Parts: sequence; structure tokens; C-alpha cells
Amino acid sequence: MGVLKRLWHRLGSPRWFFHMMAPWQWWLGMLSALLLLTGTFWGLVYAPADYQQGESFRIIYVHVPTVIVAQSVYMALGVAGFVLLVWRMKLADVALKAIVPFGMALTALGLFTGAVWGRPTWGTYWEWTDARLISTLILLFLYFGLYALRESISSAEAAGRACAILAIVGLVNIPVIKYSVEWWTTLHQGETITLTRIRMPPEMYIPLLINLLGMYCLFGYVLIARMRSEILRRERDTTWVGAWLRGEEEGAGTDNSNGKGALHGR
Amino acid sequence: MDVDAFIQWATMGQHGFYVWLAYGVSLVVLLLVIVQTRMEASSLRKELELEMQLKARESALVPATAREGQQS
Repeated sequence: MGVLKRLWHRLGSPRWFFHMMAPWQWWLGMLSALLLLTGTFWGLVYAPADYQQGESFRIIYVHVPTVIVAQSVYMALGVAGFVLLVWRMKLADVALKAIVPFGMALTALGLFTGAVWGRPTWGTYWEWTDARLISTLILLFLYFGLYALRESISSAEAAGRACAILAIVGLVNIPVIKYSVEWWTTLHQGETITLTRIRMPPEMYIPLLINLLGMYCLFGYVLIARMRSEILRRERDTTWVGAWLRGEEEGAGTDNSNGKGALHGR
Repeated sequence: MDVDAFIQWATMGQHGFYVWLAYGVSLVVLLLVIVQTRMEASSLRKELELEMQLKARESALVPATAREGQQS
């Protein structure tokens, strides 16, 4: 219990996070590049074409990882918002601000790749009556809202609280996206892969899983990198940032070097 | 590699436009996200270093007596 409590308090320390996460940032960045290149190459070159859709099916390898992680980013925002409101943890607000642009980019990409896939498959880029498309569009608007809200409130603390509330309220959209294909069957197909069942041959789903894992690693990399920048910006007047800039702070330089020593040293 | 086989692969069975458009735009957007993240980190670091140098120079330039004078 004592250990857990201490960990929780350390997690709340921006300085601790800044140093502790430097090697993680490096490793996740490398891993995501490796996985995404492997999965994409595999999906484009070696995976067989779909017997109904032909080659356009290969869009799945960018579309599905993008939209799944776009929703995961939003769920992370909801959790960060909850932690901020309940425990007033500084780091939660840092996360709540840092990851919005990434989620926005992924959601926009998911909508775009879906539209491009829809044209040869359904004969249309967009369908206003499809619940999956509309609920994903709402997700994009939620990201816009979080970004605009932060920009429009001058008090950082009030902006953080407002964003936390919007992030939590917006969570209701996540199950709507998930079950939209079951509640309203229109154009979008159901889930091809769930945790318990995969309706796909391995040579098709393995590259998909690789790209999904790669996209989660990219999420981790972007989250840590942007949070660390935001921490520096907020703590710029503290003595530890000054010491880090002069190379005196413990753990300094781990983000520039390969970070191996720092990872194994702990 | 056989040229015909390569062309057949690259055209993606008449769906080449859609497949390459989806992959191309995804690549560009993800690269932009990564480049922006890295550039933000490096420009922030430069800014903070400059700020630190300016502060150090300021305190070195202003003699202790002048600083006392400003405070009163």
C-alpha cells in the first residue's frame, strides 16, 4: 500500500515523469517505426487480396489501426479528465492538453481513409445516414471542441477543468461508435476482429495486428514527447529545468542519447 | 522482379488510385505529426536556453549596488 501510494505521488510529479519517460519515448518511437513499416509492407505486398473487394481491401491496414487508436486516445483523455477533476493532478492536465492534436489527426485520417475505401466498395465516399460515419464525425468535432475550449479560456486552471468535463461527457460517444454497426445496420460492416473472434485468415490479420500495435506505440511516443515539452513549458522557471538545461540534472541527456543506460539502470 | 508483375501490383487491380491515396495521405499526416512534435521540443529547448543565457547576462551586467538601488 505504501509503495503504491508513493508511486501515485511520484506519478503526479512532472519532474519525475520528465526524466523517467525519456528512455520510453525513444524505445516507443523506434518500435512504432519498425512495426508500422513491417505491417504496411506486409499488408501491401504479401497479404492476399480480398475475394469480394479485391485490392482496395488493403486500405484496412491504415484505416482500422487509425480509427481504433483515435478512439483509444479519446478514452485516455476521458481518464485524464477524471483524474484531473478528482485528484487535481498536474500531469493529468498536461496529458489532457498534449494529446488532443494527435487524436484529431487520427480521427480525420480515419474518416479520410474510410471515405477513400468506401468509394470503390460502396460506390460512395460519404453517407449521411450511416451511424458509424456520423458518430466518428462527432468524435472529430469533440476533438475540435477540446482544442477550441483550451484556446478560448485564458485561465489555465479553468481551461483544464472545462476540457476535463468535455472529455468526460464526450465519452458517451465511444460506445455509440462501437455498437453503431449493430444498432443501426446501414453501410458500414461489422467488426471483423474482436477480442474473441477473428473472421479473417492469418495472412490477412497478422499485418493488421502489427500495424495496430505500431499505432499504439506511436500514440505512446507522441503522448510522452508532447507531455515532456508541455512540462518544460510549464516548469520553465523552476530550478530543476535550469539544471537540466545546463546538463546538471540527474537523467539529463537521456532523450538525446539512446537512453539504454537510463532504462537498465533503474 | 518481373516488370509486368510489378505494374500489376502497383495498379492494385484498378483500385490503385484509392489504395495509394489512402496510404499516401496517411504517411504525410503521420510524418507531419512526428516532425511537428520533434520540432516543438527542439525549438522549446533553444528558447529556454536563450532565456537562461539572457538571465545570466543580465545579472552579470547589473552591479549589485544598482540592483539594490532599483529595489528601493
